[in-house]
Amino acid sequence: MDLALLVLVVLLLAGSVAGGVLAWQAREDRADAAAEQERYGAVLAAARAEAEAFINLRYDDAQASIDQVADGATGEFREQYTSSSERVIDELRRDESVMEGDVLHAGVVSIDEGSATVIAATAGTIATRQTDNQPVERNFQLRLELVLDDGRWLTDDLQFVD
Amino acid sequence: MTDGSRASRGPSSEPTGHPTRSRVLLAAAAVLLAGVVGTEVWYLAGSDDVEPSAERPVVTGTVVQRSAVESAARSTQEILSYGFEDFDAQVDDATTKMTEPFAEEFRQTAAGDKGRFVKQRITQEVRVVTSAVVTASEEEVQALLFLDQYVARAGEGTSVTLYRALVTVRRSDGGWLVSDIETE
Repeated sequence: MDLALLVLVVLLLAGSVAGGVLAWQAREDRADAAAEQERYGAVLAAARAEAEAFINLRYDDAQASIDQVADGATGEFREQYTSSSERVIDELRRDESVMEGDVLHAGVVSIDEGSATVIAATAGTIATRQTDNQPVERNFQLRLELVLDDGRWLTDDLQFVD
Repeated sequence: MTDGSRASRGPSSEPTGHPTRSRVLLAAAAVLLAGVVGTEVWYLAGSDDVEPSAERPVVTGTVVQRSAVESAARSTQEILSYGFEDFDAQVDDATTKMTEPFAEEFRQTAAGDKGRFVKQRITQEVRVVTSAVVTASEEEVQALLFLDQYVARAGEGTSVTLYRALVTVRRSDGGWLVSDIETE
């Protein structure tokens, strides 16, 4: 009887050790998977915010619109965008441009730990002097390249897909 | 001699019919270890499945979501490319790539378009420009596609229009089937 109990305890001990190793491995795998899944969410949130900033520009609040885009940008894209801001603001004011829109859908084309490519479909309107300040439908297809910069996903390139 | 023999059994014997201390300890250890093993089995058997959310839009592995997005792109290209010649056969072929409810919806839409296609001798071809994953679980994946649509009419040239589609595919025994195509 004692021997049978002893054998049972030894078997359970072996089982619990093996189970512990497997559970630890599973925990690691799940943590890695969760981190990767959250990376998709963070990248899409950053890309959506940048795309929305990019397609919402108002001549009567132009600098704020430009600053919003610059805040989510980095690298050459940020430099180009901010360096041309005076010209952009002049054009916005001259044309009395009001561009408004939302990101309908955004998806990840590719992603790794430090960079990602995202496409976004937007829907919105643009009103200018040429349209008698009446909003006209204007939808865009955008492609954004993002990089992880000091813990933030920032856009370092933004292109229209046409 | 007899007394000595009895004394040599020591504490492991059961002279009174009560369990010995070592047996109690072994039983306690067995119960404890059984609990540990049970907890481990419960943890290992636990499902990793979670629903896609804004924070975690893609909750499946890379292989699954890529194969689903590729399937969505290929199927959408085939579904939306058809013309006035052999119209019905093309529609029938397209519906083999869809879930039954969506196939029914597609048949109705195609039936409404047939007259215009035949009368104007229209052929349309759709090519995927780029594709991306929007949300993904083990059972359902949404893909965003940018598409070039080439439309040719008799006596006219071919026009090209870029547009986008949100395509949903569902897992089935035969692979991924299109359950919705939303174009805007």
